[in-house]
Amino acid sequence: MTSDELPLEIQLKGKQIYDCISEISKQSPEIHNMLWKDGHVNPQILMFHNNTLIRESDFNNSVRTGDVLDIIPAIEGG
Amino acid sequence: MSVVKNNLSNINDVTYQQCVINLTNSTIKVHQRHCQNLEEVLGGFARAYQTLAKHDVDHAYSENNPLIVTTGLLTGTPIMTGLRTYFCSYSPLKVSNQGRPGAMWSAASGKFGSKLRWTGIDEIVFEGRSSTPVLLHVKQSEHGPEINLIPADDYLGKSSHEKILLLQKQFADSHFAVIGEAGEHYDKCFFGSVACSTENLLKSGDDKCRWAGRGGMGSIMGYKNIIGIIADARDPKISLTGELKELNKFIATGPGSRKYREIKKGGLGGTWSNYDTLSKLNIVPENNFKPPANPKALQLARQEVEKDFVVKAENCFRCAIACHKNIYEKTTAGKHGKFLAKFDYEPLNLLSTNLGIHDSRQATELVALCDRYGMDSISAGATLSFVLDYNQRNPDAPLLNNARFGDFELIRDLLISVGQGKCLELGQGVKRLSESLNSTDYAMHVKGLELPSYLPETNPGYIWAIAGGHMSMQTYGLLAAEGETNLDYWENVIVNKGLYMVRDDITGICKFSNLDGQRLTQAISLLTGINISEDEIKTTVRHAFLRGIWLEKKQGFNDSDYELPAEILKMQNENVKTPSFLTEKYLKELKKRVFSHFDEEIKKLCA
Repeated sequence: MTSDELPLEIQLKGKQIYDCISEISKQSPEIHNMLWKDGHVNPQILMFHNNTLIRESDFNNSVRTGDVLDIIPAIEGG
Repeated sequence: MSVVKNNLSNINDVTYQQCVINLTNSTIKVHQRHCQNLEEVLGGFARAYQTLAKHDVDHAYSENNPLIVTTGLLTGTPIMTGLRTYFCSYSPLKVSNQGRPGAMWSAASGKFGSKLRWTGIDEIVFEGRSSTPVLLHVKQSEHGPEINLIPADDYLGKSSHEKILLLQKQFADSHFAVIGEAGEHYDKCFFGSVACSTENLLKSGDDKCRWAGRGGMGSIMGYKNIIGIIADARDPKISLTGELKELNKFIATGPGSRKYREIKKGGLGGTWSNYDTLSKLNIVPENNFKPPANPKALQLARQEVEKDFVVKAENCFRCAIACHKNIYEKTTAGKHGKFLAKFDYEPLNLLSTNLGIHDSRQATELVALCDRYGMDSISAGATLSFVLDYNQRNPDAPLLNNARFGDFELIRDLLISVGQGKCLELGQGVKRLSESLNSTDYAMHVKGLELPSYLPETNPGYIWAIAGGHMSMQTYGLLAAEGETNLDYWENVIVNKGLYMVRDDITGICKFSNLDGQRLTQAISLLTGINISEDEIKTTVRHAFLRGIWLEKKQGFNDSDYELPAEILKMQNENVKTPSFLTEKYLKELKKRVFSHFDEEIKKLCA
């Protein structure tokens, strides 16, 4: 993801984080390809659920209306 | 900057205050300039490059090379991170193979830029060269800005920090942009940087500047005999509207700044966290950008450093991101003691891991020394790593003091030597040094600008970075994140995505805000009354970038300059876990494709 694309905000529906991730994958093959590497979440991409860093093992956690899921590249210069 | 109307039906209605100082004859003139295009309205390098284009410059250290100190439309406004100052000139480091200097800018936060705008001045153009060391004093007054050159002899030979503390005693309600010893010795050190003061520095007395480091803008100041600039103005009273409060809250807590915030604030703890991420693919530069099979990079990851030191997240003026990760001694009670250094990914990596140094105390010392003398850590670090590499390859005819990877004391001696203007070999930068030794293959630079801390074999986009590899072409993390190697992909990300990174080298806000286009237009409208669409901003940024490429070609940059370090094409590092894809043939085709886009657009833009 590069600066002209970030942050892209989309509304998603789902009961668990996994549902939301699946929905994003359906909407954007590009994001899907970036998120998943060899069957696991790409370690160069980080996800936050309501300000908490989450891992693949957290994908079964429930989500509620108004929750925010951030997907950001892990590498940034400075 | 003032706006007569609140739309852009007539760009000429937008004006900015430009101060032109001829240092040769000490004349000072202030002009109210009417903007000619959107690049001038938004400001930053987009405005300054148009001035640079009017100057025919054969050598960076010549009287006809101007130094432009400018601001962006949002500098000094209440939008969070609206603090940027841009130092623009033809660079002593960025140089074509034909020997002509390239146009360059370097940006800094801190509070200097805001104070400058509050004096009533948006931009300063320094022409000529002073015969004696001077300070420029820009003071706000009821009758408009009062501007004077004052003698600076008493400030010579002091560090940038010492200069700022001295100036603070004389100019209480001011902020400062100054050079260190390296800039004073511009003829022996081409990568002198400019230190901009922060509130934290002035309150604590600690060396906590923000730096305009890249491209030797401090050396240009030194050549012109400008030791510092004083921006002397009262802070305006500001009341934030609801919409602006929401925008600032978004910058402080949203996804754009997440990388730079503390973990307890939902962040990743700063750019430093690249150590953890990049280590997974073994692409943290080590030993002159060649990570070994058993890397030691993680010895300097934040969690390791925090075992022995206290890390405090501190901030620029009114910024809640708090990206400054300052390292303090840890007292026996576990509290913070003396301030030691500020760690960011690039200075830390290039002055430690990439030099074979994996001790955190030694790292703090080298980072602090680089700041003390006022040098760009990227250029100093990458030139040092070349020297160490050369000495390892040429044990019978080593350079300088025969320092090798990990030789902390010898490396420290070299850093001090170049900072004091006693080591031209290092101070000229890695391009010229490697050419003088006929050993250019492993000199880590593109167009004379030393590479930041991302391996060149992971980023062909370096070729098109117009002002440093990780600040003017946002392709450096893409191979790791996306793993794509096909030509169509790289052509697209360079031509249609990466170049937009320079937006905030124009607008006056910090890249660490990562503000999206819609909110940026909202901020501009709220704070200036100017209504610009997202598309207009994108087009303006693209034009500014293309003007940068055009200026390179005007200065003689050609196909031979648009190259990556040759060794990465000849010798694949099998320890690196990203796909290997760059070959001479690949780059030749990529250059053909990218320039077919850029050249066509430049023809129309710069006709």
